[in-house]
Amino acid sequence: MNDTPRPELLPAPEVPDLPDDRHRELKDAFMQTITEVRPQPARRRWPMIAVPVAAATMAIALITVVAVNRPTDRGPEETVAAPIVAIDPGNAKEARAMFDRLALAAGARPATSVGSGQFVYVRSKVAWLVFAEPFDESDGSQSAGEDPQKLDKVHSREIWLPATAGSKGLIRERGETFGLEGARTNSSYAEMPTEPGALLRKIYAETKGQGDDPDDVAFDYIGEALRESILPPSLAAALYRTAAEIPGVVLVKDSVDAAGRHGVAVGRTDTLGERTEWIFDPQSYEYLGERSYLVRDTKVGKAGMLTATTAVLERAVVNKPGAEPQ
Amino acid sequence: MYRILRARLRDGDAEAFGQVFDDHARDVHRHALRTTGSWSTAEDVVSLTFLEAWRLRETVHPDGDSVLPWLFGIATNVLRNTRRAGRRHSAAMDRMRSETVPDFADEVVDRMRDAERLAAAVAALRRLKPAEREVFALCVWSGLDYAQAAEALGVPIGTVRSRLSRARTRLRDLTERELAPRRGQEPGGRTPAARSLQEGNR
Repeated sequence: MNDTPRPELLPAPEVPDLPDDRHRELKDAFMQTITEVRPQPARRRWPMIAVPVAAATMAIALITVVAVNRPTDRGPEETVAAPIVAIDPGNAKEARAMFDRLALAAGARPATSVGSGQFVYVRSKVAWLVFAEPFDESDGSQSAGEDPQKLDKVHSREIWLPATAGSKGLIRERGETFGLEGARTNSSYAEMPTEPGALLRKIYAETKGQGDDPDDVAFDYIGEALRESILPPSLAAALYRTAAEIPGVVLVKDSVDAAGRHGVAVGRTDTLGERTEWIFDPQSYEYLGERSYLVRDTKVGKAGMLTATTAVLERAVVNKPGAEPQ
Repeated sequence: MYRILRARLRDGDAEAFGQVFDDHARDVHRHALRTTGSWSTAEDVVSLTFLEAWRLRETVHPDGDSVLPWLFGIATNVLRNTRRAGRRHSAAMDRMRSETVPDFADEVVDRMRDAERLAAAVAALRRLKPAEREVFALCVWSGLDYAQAAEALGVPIGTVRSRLSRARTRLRDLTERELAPRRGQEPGGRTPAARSLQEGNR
């Protein structure tokens, strides 16, 4: 580095290296994980895994958050106390019929072609539960008993998702633009099998070992596939038919997205007590957005606490990242 | 040479990932230890970073030099959200922990002659805003240049420059007393995430 013009005020503290034996053990475990398919379900040994609803809700943002960097200087003015919403008990019996209607409507829509060098543009309004000050709760005793998580203010979000691997996407949120590194490509979703049985098997196989509960991650996976993408109609239909097979899905007669649009929703409550709803226009069954909230009191918050809200306002295909649709 | 490595990583070549682990696990560990002050958290960050790297292998750009900035970008996200990454990889982490001797590892830090200096450095680093802190730790402590830090953080080079400058200004503003080791304070103030991780070890 040639731009260190003066002695640093805060030089790097001396720390011991990772010893060889620990290096070897960590590497062995890593190599084993990536080279074998492990059939056994996760044994729960981690109390923390049950705690963070943030994990679940922020997984909503995973497509970007994992490797794109959300702005972290978010002042108090950019978050709000999470509102409490009414908890609809949900109807499990009517869920399947609803998924059938969603699949029929999705399958009948005209296809949008996405060329291999193009980008899928999605404009939305979003608010997710975030750590008020990520990775900054330096004094545990002070924050004990306090909820370090807050809901974003609803804000605009634009994403340019590469159609295929090899080009870099973009994301623009709160006026800041970031390179998109961690996203799957549109084709990684769009090219999945359209036969519901095969699709279900693929989703469970691909998410195996992630999270505590295979059904939770499968439902999240489908939610991600629907959120910021342009899918062939046959695949969109297959995703709804597949989601219908996940245990615990319910029909929610009335929900509301981040743009205030009311719709009919399908939802599912995960093992952490957070329900995620996918909301649809009650006439056209077009995807409107998502809403998540706690259905019971948890360490993160009270029952009814809103943990995420989104609304997709526009989907389009553009030729380069950053370009607005015509 | 990097092109071939990058292609192999993108293809999910386990051997290539093994090589990257050998080359860079210590870099990631040192970075995590300096920024968290906790030995066991730093090990978790190493494991989670490589698991995330594997999961996100398609995001390796085909062109470029060392993959270290890419890896540091992932590590930075893991550091921001250890719990989220942990949830995603809980099964794999479960296994890694089953092979660890956690109490021993923590003692290493506790016994360190430099433990107090590390704690003070971590405390000082925490005085910075998160975005400034990340740039400072990457550029000054881990030696990334502006372009590499920009790649790791997914921000323009100008942003790296200005954040680093703000970080230095703010550090200058800190008083001697604030920078001095605080006696009686537990070394390495820990994030809730880190604390949870450690509780999970017991």
